Amino acid sequence: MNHSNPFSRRHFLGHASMGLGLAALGSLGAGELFGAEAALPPGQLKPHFPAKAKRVIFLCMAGGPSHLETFDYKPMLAKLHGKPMPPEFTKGQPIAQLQGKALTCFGPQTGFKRYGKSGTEISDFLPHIASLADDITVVRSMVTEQINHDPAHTFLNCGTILPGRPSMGAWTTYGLGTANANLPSFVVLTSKSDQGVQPIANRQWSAGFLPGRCQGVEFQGKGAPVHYVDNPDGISRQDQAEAMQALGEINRMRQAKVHDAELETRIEQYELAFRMQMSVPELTDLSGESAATLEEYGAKPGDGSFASNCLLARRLAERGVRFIHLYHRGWDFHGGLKSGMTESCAKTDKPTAALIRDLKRRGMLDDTLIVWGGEFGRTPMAQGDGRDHHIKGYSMFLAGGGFKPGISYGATDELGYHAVDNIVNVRDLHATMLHQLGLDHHRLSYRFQGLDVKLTGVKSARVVKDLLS
Amino acid sequence: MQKMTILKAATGLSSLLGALIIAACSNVKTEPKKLSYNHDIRPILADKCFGCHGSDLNKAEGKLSLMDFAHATSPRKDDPPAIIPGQPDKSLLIERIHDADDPMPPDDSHKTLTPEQKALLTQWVAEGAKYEKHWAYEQPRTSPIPKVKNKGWPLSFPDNYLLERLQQEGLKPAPEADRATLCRRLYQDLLGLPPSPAQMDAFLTDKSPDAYEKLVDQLLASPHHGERMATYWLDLVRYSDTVGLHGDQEHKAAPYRDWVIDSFIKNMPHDRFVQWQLGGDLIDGLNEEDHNDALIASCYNRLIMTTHEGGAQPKEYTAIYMADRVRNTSLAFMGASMGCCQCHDHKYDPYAAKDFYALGSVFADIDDLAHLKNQYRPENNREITLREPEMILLSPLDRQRRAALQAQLAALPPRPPAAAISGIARGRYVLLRQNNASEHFSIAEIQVMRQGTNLALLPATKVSGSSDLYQAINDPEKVRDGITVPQDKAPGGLGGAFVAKPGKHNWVQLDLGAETDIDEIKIFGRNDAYSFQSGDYTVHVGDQDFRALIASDDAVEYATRWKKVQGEIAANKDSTFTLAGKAMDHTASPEEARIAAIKPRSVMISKASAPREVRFLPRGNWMDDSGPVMTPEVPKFLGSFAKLGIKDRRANRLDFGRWLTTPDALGGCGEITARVWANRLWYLFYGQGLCASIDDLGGQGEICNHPELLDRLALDFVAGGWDNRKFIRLLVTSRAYRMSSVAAPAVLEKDPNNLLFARQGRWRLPAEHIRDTALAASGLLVSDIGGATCRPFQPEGYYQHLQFPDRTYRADKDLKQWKRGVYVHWQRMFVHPMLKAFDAPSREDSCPRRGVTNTPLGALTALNDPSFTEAARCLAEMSLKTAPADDSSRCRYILRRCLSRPADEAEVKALLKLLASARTSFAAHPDAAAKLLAVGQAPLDKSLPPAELAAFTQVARVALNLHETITRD
Repeated sequence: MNHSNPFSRRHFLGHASMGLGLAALGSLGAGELFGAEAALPPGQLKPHFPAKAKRVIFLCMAGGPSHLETFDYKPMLAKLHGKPMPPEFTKGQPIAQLQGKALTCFGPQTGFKRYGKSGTEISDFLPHIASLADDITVVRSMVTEQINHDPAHTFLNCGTILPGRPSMGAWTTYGLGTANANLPSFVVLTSKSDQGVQPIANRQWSAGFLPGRCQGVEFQGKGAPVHYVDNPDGISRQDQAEAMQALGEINRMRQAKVHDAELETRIEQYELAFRMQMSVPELTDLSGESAATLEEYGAKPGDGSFASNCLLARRLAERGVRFIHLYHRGWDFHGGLKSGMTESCAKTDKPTAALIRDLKRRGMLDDTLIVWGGEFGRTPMAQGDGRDHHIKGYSMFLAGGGFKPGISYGATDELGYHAVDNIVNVRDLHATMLHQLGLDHHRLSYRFQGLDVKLTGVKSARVVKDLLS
Repeated sequence: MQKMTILKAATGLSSLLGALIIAACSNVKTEPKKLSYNHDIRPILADKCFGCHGSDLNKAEGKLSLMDFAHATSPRKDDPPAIIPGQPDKSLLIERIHDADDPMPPDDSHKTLTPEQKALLTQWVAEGAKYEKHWAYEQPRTSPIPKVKNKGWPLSFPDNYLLERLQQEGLKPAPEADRATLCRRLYQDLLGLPPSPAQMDAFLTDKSPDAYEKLVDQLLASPHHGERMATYWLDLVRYSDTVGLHGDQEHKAAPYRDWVIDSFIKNMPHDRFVQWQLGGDLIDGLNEEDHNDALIASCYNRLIMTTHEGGAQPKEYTAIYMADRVRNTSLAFMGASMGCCQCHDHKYDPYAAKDFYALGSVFADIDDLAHLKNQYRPENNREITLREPEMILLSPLDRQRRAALQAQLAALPPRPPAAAISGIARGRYVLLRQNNASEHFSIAEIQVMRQGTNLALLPATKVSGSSDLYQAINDPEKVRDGITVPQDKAPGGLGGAFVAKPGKHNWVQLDLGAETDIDEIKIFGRNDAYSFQSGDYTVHVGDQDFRALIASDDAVEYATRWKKVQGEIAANKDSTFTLAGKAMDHTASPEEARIAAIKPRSVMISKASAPREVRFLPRGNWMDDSGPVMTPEVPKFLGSFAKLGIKDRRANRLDFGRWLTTPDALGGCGEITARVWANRLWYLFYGQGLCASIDDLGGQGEICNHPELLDRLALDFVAGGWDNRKFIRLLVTSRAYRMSSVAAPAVLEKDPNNLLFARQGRWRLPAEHIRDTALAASGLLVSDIGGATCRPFQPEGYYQHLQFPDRTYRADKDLKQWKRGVYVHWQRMFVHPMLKAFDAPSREDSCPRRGVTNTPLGALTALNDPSFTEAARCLAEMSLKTAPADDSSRCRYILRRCLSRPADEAEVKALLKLLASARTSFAAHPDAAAKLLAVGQAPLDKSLPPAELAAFTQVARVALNLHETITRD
């Protein structure tokens, strides 16, 4: 019954306590920190079947990027531009801000071309991603259930809008355990544009009812990269080490009297915290990256941009972080769609492509799953010179992690309203992602309030095998 | 050593494995006995079978439900009955679970039965396949108090039940903990605070036989007990300061928090406590104060999560809000997760989807849609949003504080004015004008005296002021002998009477109604940072209404007009007085300032409106209007409103509250509600429930290990008038409560999760109490009860993802910085990172039981959060000033304030070693010492040598971070 303390179990089943004498502190170089995988406790669960992907980088385009200006070209919509939207498309459908307004077609605001051997159609807003058309898997038939940002976002990440549920990064961490105990297994990075910015809640990276170690840890663009990872002002690393030493000694004296698993874990967690105080700054220090790499990503160290975050994502992936959740906020263009898309695509296109290329070069794309997409798409109908929220058909793309490169899957109707062919709902996406991680979405469950709760919930979800190599 | 490791390995087992061990240990039997459905069979069926063969026949595979005897034993269309009682050989159920080719549960269900489980099912069918109603839905039954062999052990009836069970299991209860541990345990459990060394000494030196009971009574009577209990209650009702969705704006609920605290302080009967929250606004015949408080209590219904996002569809959110209420009400009061029934009949419990909507319609009179009806009005996306209906009310705690302060104030001698002008002339208008526009305007009061009468207070006198002026007297009554102006300005949070920020020459004018002689004008300054300075103000007296000349919001216009006024004034120099010469201190007394700061506050309330139509939503789909219209009703299998006597009218929220708290004999389900609550209170004081499923006692919950005891407690609670304090007293004065938390090896092996209570529990403190412990140990704790939400230090940029509007967190600069954790601003989307690191829930949903994790983030927080660093420094200061002046005594002092016990020699030695190296380090780096001591905002005692203080701060940091410091033993 005791849900409270998974660490103590892992500790006692997994490995003996690591003493952390002062002598050891001096020798904790970066290389040793990251070479520690073999000695680490095993994952929480065994994979259900062999995994294609060891980790996920989710490029979460928060705000709802328009599929009609990215991956889903609709010449018919251009033809009907300015004309009334045929009512048979919209009758009885949920509508957000266009409730009760006249509905008019709004043609694509940019051109499209075919790219690569696959001939994948991609918009002129995304030239860099387009250059990798044969490396990515485009899905044009996504559907979701929620039409407002907050719930749609929650649904995308947690598979439900019920509060208190874990996000997929937490599920992944729960299922696979950690591959680097000196860093959190689930890391969140954020950036934003100047336009079209929507708020997000930290429930998007919540562990919900799962153990706290599954919680996403947000890295900050400014100040300490992780809350409280820096020593108090005036306390040097040596000072901190000495305090830790005394703390550990007195805690162990207590342990000799009470024999408490929780106390043993506490000692270990303090040691881990101390190591994190070194490994996190090392991780976020981009000074070792070459000028060419910085240029390829378009990253300026310390600017907190999406580009810098993409580079950081690669470094996190290298260090065994399981789930890297990269937010870029700035896709909510109810108006000013063209200028907004221009800005947000300019900020994200090049670094996204750089990340994929970089991972590929390093031989990591095969076991890293990249997911690009938002909580919903945009209406084919105009809202001034923008588009409203749209949930009945939109696009995402995936790369690596055993997905079939160079294909496009599914389609919306001729106006880009309804997904009509090979529909993929959010639960299917989750099931497929988990599958690539070696986890069966039926079996990855946790007992909460008397139920075996799953990421994919109670409604049907399928692994979309057609997307997989 | 090897053995110990194995034993400890078992303590952290996950739920599934834990359940098996429970089953194993509770199955220890002296002789084979007949199987019990609830104990032996239901857990198997619930886990493996009900998912497909549950109560919803429309969904049940093969139209077979195994939920009850009738369905399981009836023949179906094409099949024989699944169970033929007494004949396992002929029962399809038994055949199929043994069928290797076509097994049940089927392979694709990913569930399998163990051979033992198959054997149990077979035996059960052979014994007649008797079903039992799930224990949590049976009425609690009374039972004789068990007789035990060790007659000297029990002190009260819970001990008899516990000991009887331990004897059956062959376990011995742990010995009593030492007195220091008991004292600390009581303080932590009842107040959420550690005892101070003096409080500990008082207990240790009290040798009277009832010293323990006296301490219990003393602590139960402390107002901090109310704070402690509220901390738990607020989790149940998911109290927060923000709406929780999209822009996560603030809503107004803080007075409700005060009311909860006050209710526990007053020991309000728990049935009334429940009723007021659900329907306080509907109660007739309350006196004025109770009516006020019951309205605040009804804020409970408004604690849902709301969206203020543009484009939200009112119809959709109407359904979402209703579901939020049903989910919370069922979890918080009934210990049931009815949330499942939003879309379908509960698979494991007898709750039906219809029950969900019938209960939802109980709340149909709450109009919570005002903010959705006009989504684009600016109030929606302000930092503090508007969620009508709201009322401005004085919380009960504020009322009491104010009354106490007013009594103090009345006893004080009159205070001297900051400035006075005597022997002055005649006039109708008195203008007080600020000379320096770059200063705050800050005046407590203006008195215009004639022959001992203050003309300012006469009804004919009218007051006006410049537009920037905050008038912060919210009491319609006058504050002592102050003056009031219309309440059209929002209090700026500065407190006091007339306040304005720098920016222009502010002014106040009194119109005395007619020209009159004036003997004296007295000006009283305010007790704040912007005290009255010489030369700040000029007073003009004359026949001119200066207002017509200077009242303008436009800065340029204002300046022009002011020049004109100056001309007028210059023409009549006799009546112009510059308050200059002597230095004029502020004189408003601290009591006055504090009274002024106690204001009625806005709070969301429930207000009955014509109930909107609630339809049954098929599959929970809010767009589907095909379902029948629902009327208020309680879950069918638990009773009905008719049984409660409500037949000729629509039942309302108050009726629901009454149903929850009315005994079965009178048509309610009071004993069942009491059982849920009794189990939770037991958990608070023993670390584990009598039934371990604190949240949901339903069919998927854990087995109840002490059903008779739990029933008896529930019945006692109801019979005793729902008296929380009496009940808690019973729980903490038992023999079992006083046991040591150190488990003997045999006990650990047999009962790693302490389900049988052969020892006391041991757990890490909840997040708020970790904060409180650090504040208390360091002497920083501000023990004001109730009032405003507090904002401790928080990492910069933590709210960067909050928009509509963008948010900047401002840490408190006053005493609020050190208020208890229960008052910390609760931002649902971004709960304070210190609280979160120690498992405080987001309060998006009811949280009857918090997780307790042990992570590096928790360690980093306690090590490096400035609030902890500041506490360490203040604790170090205390040790330097209070303890005997030797290193060892000072280290002991620091440890004792954290651990409540004398330190061991070895512990002191470890700290002395740290102290020596820290001393060297800070002596060599005075800059580092200065930086460390500058953390926080508590005043620094500059008389102490910085390197020395910094070195002891290191010692105190260690003490505050010790596992024992944050553990309840």
